[in-house]
Amino acid sequence: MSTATFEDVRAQAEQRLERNLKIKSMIIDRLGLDAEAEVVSDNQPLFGRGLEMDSLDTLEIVVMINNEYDVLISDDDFEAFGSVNALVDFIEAREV
Amino acid sequence: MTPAATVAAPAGGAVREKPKTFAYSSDDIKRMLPHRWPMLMIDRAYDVVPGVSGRGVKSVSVNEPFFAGHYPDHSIMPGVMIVEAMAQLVAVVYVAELLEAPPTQDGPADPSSSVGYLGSISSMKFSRLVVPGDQLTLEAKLGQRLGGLRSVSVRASVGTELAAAGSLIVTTERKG
Repeated sequence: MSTATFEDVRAQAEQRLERNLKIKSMIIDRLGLDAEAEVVSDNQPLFGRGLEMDSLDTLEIVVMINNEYDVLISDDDFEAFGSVNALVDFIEAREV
Repeated sequence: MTPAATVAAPAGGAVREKPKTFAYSSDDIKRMLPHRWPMLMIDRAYDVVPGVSGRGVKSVSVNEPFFAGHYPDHSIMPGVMIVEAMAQLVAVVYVAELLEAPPTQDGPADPSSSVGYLGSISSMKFSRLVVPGDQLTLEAKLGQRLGGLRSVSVRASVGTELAAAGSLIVTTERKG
């Protein structure tokens, strides 16, 4: 039985949105992308037609996530790069 | 290819022992890298922990071909050549991993054929001019890998003065 109140859930959701926005800003800064964090959607793909990241950008993000959250992303963790949401899910599942 | 220290790796021991390091002469390096004059930018490597980190030396002489044009009346080593020297040390560090690994049946005949390309100069800051007579001490620490890419932190100094430092991405395999 969950004891979370509506306010708790709402606070959690707000925290998550903030975190997604932070990650988007970090990616944009690190890769020098011509985009505003606010207009990148949480489920937009990071590769292809999304943010158009390539393999070099991916490694830059892997290094950035490791420095910031102490979370390691390896070759087998490609699901982490599906979208901003997928990346944040991956970090939240592993950070200490 | 002389092991400078022969300390066995601890089997889950609490005491962290110093990893085994290697030193490579100029002749050794010619067997590890495909580069040749005028683009072989590293004279010696030492403190090499294969696949992890290493140090190297590049002695800068007035006879370097790039000084002929950079600049005719004011010899300074181009920053990109410092980066090239750093990248070559990185290649020595990861080729050392292939070279010092126990031999396998189908191991590569020529380790220098695994030297890849520079993928990204992600950040680099040059803090001192490098001129004829300077000896560059290069340092490389290999970081995370993803597929055939590897991130690295690099530094170059002259004596106690930092000349350049930054981070690169290299490919650890060659196309074609």
